[in-house]
Amino acid sequence: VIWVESVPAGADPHSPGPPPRLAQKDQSFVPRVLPVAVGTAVEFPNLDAIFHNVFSLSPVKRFDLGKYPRGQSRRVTFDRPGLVNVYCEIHSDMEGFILILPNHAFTQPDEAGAFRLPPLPAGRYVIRMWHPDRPEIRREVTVPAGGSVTVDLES
Amino acid sequence: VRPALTLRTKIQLITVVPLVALALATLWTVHRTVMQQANARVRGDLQRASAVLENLLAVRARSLEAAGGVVVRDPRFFSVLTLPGPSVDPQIRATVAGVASDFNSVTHSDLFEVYGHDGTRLAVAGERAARREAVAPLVTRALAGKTVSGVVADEKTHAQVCVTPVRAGGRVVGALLLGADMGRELADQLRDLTKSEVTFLSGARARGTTIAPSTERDALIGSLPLARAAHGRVFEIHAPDHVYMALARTIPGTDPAAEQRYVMERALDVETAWLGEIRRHLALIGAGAMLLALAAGLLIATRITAPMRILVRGAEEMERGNYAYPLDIRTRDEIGYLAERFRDMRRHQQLYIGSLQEVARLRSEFISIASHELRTPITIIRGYQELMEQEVLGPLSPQQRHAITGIGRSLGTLTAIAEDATRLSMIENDQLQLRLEEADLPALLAEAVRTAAAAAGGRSVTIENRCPANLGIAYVDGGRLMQAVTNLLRNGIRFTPDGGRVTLDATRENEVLVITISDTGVGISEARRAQIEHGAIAQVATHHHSSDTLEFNSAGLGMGLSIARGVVGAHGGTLRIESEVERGTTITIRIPLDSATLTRAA
Repeated sequence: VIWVESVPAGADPHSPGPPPRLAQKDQSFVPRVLPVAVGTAVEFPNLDAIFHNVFSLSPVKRFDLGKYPRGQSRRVTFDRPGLVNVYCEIHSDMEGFILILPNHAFTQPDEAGAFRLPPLPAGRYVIRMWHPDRPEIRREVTVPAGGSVTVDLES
Repeated sequence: VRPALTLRTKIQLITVVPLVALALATLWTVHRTVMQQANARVRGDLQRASAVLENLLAVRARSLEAAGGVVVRDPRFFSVLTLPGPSVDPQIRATVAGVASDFNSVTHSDLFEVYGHDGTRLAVAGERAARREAVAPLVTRALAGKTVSGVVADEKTHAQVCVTPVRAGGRVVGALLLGADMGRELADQLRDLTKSEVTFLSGARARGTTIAPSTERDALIGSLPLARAAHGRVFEIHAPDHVYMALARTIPGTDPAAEQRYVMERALDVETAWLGEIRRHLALIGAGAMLLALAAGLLIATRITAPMRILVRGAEEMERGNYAYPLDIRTRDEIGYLAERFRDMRRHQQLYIGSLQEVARLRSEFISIASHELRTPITIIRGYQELMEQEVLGPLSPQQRHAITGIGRSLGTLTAIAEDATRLSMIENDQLQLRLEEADLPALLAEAVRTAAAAAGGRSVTIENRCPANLGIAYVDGGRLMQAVTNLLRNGIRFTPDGGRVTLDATRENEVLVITISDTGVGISEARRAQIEHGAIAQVATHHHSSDTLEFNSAGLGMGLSIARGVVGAHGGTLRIESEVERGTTITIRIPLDSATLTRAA
């Protein structure tokens, strides 16, 4: 997940849509990493033919949705930013991450590693990148007015 | 007569037999003791092996119980049994199965089965599943709230199991069955631990065994009645390849009626293979000791018996007339003393025999001289007697003629005696020269009968000549042979009472002339016969020329037998006397007629 640490008020590129989903499919959470903005409600549908459970012991949001069969779904609203680790009580090797971000200026890279953040007003920003298996990267970027900037987070 | 069992053999037997017996007894004792020890050891080992097995089974049972206890207390586990919905719901079953296999990846149980609160089996995570009916009683008891252990045996499974109730919120929501196979793997493991063959039996079925050959397995199954009768004690299984000491017991924690047993076996012959090695060595040592004993016995026996053998040889030499055989015996024991006495006896014997020979020689010489010296006076008397009988010296009165005739007859007898004596001395001095010629045997024998009959005037003894007329011609000294037969016939007549019979018979048997002269006379006693049979003494015996008790018309000096023997001997033949006192005597002459013998005889 790549996001911008802080966005000027009013410049949050919010686009309304259906609530994001963290599904249980093939005994794993799909997607593995789900970035959402603060205050977003997330759906947890069970797409498997077995019971699953979704719970989190993370301080940002503690919840336990209980066990429910295929076709059922539960909804949780995350109102504080931070990282929430999601587990299934039945299947210990299932793990999901919900990254609750302060704004909507985030994105996820494609398979080639390319990403595109939503347009923001000119100014200085801090871009952060988080991956469950990699160290976090933090980079300052100056966005020129009416232009675009390319950041290489690998170097 | 040679001894049948020599002294040396006897001594050897005495020295060797006890040693051999001792060696055998030792071998036997060692073998028995070691066998007993080995047997006791195998029994002890089996008991210990049994303890190890039961211990291991107990440990396994406890670990099943412990694993079950841990699993059912895990919320991940018990919570899936609280899922809403009927137990037939495939989603619930799939969920439970997932959890079960997840847990079994930790417990690695051969049997891992999850039952719902209603007793339905929700999941099977182990390598195999037990038959429902086989585990149903255990599951029922577990659902009632008790942890139960036992053994499950069905067609595919033979396992120790532990069924633990699964509790959630204070009520039983299901049961967890954990099981550990009692099969080949466990048997192998136990064999490694106990060095015994291990077989798990369910009834008469071997469920896991370390015994590979099926024949040996069958022998075990066949011994089941023995196993039942042994009541947990050691018994023997006679299999085709081995004899086993075995111990069969009910698997702990099972109902004896269910016939769940384990059998531990040890092949006695394999266990005692080292004993065979020892036995071989002992046998070798024993054989060596025996050989040593034999050698030592031989040495001892030889040393002890050497002087005895010298004595025996000395006696044999003495029998042959050699009185000078050295008796070099210096031992100071009884044998030395015996040798000393033997030397004395030999000396006395030698002197005695020497004197006897001297007597015989003197007698023979005397007879020789006397008979020779008698010829001249006899000739002179014969001349005068003939002159007087022919009345050349004047006429004779009848009384005188009777006297002269009597003198003539007695002169004939005297001449015959002198001739016999001369002949006998010639025979004794080996001076007899045969004049071999072709002689007509029937005529020769007839002449002998005639002469003997003529000499027996006044005796009423029947003389029968049975010689066949076809006896033929033989190359012999006819005159002497006739004389010999005549003498024997006369002897026969002489010793046969009036009314008796003397028979002459002759045959040719394969170039051997056999002449028999038998009478029905007084016979000769055994003692006397032995005397007559033996040369030197017979000469003495000839003086007794008649029966000990009876004397019939004892004409002549009875030298006839000696002369006959001499003549026959000179022909290379033999003369044999068979006699029975009061029944008669038979003399058999056998003269070989083949040219070789004749040549030798000549």
